[in-house]
Amino acid sequence: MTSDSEIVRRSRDQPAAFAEVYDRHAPAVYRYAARRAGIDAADDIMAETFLVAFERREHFDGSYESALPWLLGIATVLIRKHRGAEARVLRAVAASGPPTIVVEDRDDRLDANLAVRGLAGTIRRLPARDRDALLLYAWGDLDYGGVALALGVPVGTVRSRLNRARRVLRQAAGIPPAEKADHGRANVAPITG
Amino acid sequence: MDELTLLRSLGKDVVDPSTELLDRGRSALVHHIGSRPAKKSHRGLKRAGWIGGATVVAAGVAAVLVLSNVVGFAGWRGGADAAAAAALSDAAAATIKTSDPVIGQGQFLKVSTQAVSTAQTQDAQGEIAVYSVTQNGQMYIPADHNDEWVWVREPSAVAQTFGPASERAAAAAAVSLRTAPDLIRAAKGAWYNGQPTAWGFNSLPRDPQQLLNYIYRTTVGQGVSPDGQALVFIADTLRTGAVPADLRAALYDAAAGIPGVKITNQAATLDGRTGIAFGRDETDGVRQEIIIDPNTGLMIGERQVLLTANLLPGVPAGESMQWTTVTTTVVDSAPSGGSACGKGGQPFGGAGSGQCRFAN
Repeated sequence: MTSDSEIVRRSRDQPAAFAEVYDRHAPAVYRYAARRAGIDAADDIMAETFLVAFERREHFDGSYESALPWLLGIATVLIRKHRGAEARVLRAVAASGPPTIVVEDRDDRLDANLAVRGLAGTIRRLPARDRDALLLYAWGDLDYGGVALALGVPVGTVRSRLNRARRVLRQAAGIPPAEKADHGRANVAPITG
Repeated sequence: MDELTLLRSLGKDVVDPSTELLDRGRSALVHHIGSRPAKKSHRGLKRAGWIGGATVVAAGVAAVLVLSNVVGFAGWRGGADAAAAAALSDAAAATIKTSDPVIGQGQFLKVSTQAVSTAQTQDAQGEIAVYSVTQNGQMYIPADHNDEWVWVREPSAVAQTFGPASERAAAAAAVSLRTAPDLIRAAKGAWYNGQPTAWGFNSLPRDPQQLLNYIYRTTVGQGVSPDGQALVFIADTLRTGAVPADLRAALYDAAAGIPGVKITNQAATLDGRTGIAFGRDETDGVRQEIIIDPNTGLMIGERQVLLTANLLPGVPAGESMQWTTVTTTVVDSAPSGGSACGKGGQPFGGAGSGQCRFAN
């Protein structure tokens, strides 16, 4: 399969080729935007992300195979202008809990509901750059390198922002300090609290 | 359970974009790409490749058949059914006679849009629930398009639900809907510090067959079928509310040249206004319609009708989950306040970067 970076490069001479980038990544951009800013804002954010990306395709860093970190970075910037929507989503969760919660163990569900409400309020109060790093990682499903690319900062900076944000979240949710690496993500460096 | 697992659980219940939504985003992108000048164009050759065997080589000279506005899909494959073609032709004649409102210096064309669109959520069990939400607004377009445009986006609300799962999803999502009107003000209609609004109506052909060929070329590869997508293009163009009368007439005549277009309802009512609905059934079970007032030739609106029950969960056949009505008037003033980014935001990253910054 042709890599994203090849497609973006080709689109510099053949603009129509860029539509392929949309076909590959529009759903992921939408889901990320919807989680952060709500579904009403998500469709605008998704559409605008690709218009901006197309205009900025000369700036795409071709050393990274996937275009997704770059696209989510653009979406993150666009989400800032929908900050009101993002705050409303988080306030609503903090007030009444998430609409549905996905927990494997049923006994965990009640605790999780309470903890998530605390979490939402805390996310809202995080400094924007820590929140962006955290949510690109947790909701955008990027690894540290991807988050770094999306935000245009070194990987070390991503690591320290994530550590800081996760420490604050743990305190807010009443979770004791992590003893081991984060769950299910073997491809990233362990958290050093 | 650690904080990351918890965080990932929050938001798992959202949503995959509907195909309609994805198609709209894609059309917007393709339109945008088409409106930008290519630095190096291989388009002619590419099109020749696309039509395959049509390349002719003679006496060492390659003659390349290029689809153009003059040579294309339109005209030789039949057209709309006879009744629809006649009614569209009448509408075109009527709309030419209904002269466009004159927008004097300092005045605005006010385009009022009532719209409903589909929203969709997926719960933890993967069950999809759909409902519809309103997307109403008014756009004030200045006489000189280089001046400031104003766009009032009204609060959004749940319009319709379909059964208990849909009601629950709508109630859960209602918190993220726009609760206060937003006022956006931007020179050239460059909303959210984006690119100016440039529909390019002046450069579109007024000859119906050339216009239809242009539409087929522009939309190639999109939508369920080329003919269906041509009708969607026409509906999208009319929906701007800013189409001049001569182009409106050409668009109606172009629709009459699309095979499969028929009258789907002689007296269709949309948002309280009644007109003739023209539509085309697509194999994905959705019919795009445009609804025209036969007396004035003005477009009342457009909608997408679901042809079979439960195409979206709980939604009966014949329901329209997505529609727009448009009304235009000329007004002396536009609302004051607002900014290019809405809600007090400020552009940054240069004009047209698509980026906005908010003070708080």
